[in-house]
Amino acid sequence: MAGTSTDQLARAARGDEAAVRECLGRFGPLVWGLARRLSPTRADAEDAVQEIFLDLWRHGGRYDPSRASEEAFVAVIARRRLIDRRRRAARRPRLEPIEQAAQAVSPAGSAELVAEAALAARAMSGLSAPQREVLRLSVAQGLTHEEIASHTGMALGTVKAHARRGLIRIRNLLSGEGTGEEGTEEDAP
Amino acid sequence: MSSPTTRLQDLLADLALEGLAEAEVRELERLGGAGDDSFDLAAAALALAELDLSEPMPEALAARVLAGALVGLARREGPAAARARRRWGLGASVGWITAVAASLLAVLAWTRPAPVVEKLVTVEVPAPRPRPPTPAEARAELLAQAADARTIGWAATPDAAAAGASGDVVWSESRQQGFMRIRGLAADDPARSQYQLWIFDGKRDQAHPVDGGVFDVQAGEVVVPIHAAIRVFEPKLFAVTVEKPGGVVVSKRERIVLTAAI
Repeated sequence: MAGTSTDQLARAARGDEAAVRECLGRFGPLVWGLARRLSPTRADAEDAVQEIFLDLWRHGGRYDPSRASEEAFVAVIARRRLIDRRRRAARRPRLEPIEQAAQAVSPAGSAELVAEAALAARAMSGLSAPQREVLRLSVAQGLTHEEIASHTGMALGTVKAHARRGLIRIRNLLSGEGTGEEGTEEDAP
Repeated sequence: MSSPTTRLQDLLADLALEGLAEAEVRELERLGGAGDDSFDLAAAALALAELDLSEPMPEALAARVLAGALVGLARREGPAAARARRRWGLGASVGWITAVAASLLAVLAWTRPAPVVEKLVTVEVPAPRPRPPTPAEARAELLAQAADARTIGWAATPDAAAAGASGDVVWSESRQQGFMRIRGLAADDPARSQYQLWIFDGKRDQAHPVDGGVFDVQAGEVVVPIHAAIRVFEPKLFAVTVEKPGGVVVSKRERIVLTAAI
């Protein structure tokens, strides 16, 4: 059964084998990239990818195209699984220092992949330096708030405040509630 | 004491960035934020913006994911499937997934309301490996199959632990995979210190090399897989340092024992 390029998840969730294959081809690099970034080893990333796709087959029917792109939906599912795996694991992924994360944007311009990514990149440019630092350490490297506090010397409450306010700024831009270009604010909890 | 709104936002941000403990999940529910995934979407959008998509998912992994999907579909089958299976002469206990081109008769029934689909699907499952390859075997496989795999010899530093040490690094940029082969490096006591690999990337700040993983060395020759935390674009130098147990985020580079320059 032929389908549109935007209903692959729903068709896969209904058991459409062709859609399953299409989803693998379309979202495989995205899921693999997230898993590689947030898993301690390549083998762990491979295990995570299999779990993530099982989640997608189970929950793909919940995708609401009015709320987000399929890529963003997949990224949400993937990140939830990866974070859950990390919480369950006794060990922590090997991580790089903050300066590297700041330079880790894909040379292929992945921000252009979906509108949400471009908006998030735009919102990041409007954040204060500490907010960007905290969010990059958290999202790009998967550091916990405590680890960020330890690494940067910020108080834990300050880290949480930066994370929260940075995410709010990105969320507002995604929802059309703000431009993301308003003046940066230095957040003190 | 933070306001309920601030506390709710803190919990939503924590949920999106590092997950919540059970007690926090219950608190989130009490505050009415259980169904709010707006912070998740914001974090996911940022993750997409920061993501490197240049590395494809390994083909063998894609095959396993596909096989898993089709097995998952079959497990969700309803009674009609069982009837259909019997019609096709397949008993319930038949192992209907076999290595290489197994045939599945499945009725697909998901938990969500959806039309029942009866279909015959074919899945190609890679032959199961009797055991995972050893690092030495994986290294040999990488050298044999990755056209861009390069071998760089180690140079021992004057550090006492490196006296007489030798070996090489194999690295494939396309696969982002590599191995260290080390001979003669002093055995470490993991309770006191461990070796850690660093990869200096020409496209990144040289002050902050990529962490390649922590490892131990016992007597004789060891082959150690490289676990680069992030993509290495242009490796220039591999260096092994001695660090505290578990490794460090930023090395003081007080004890460098091996280097391999490209």
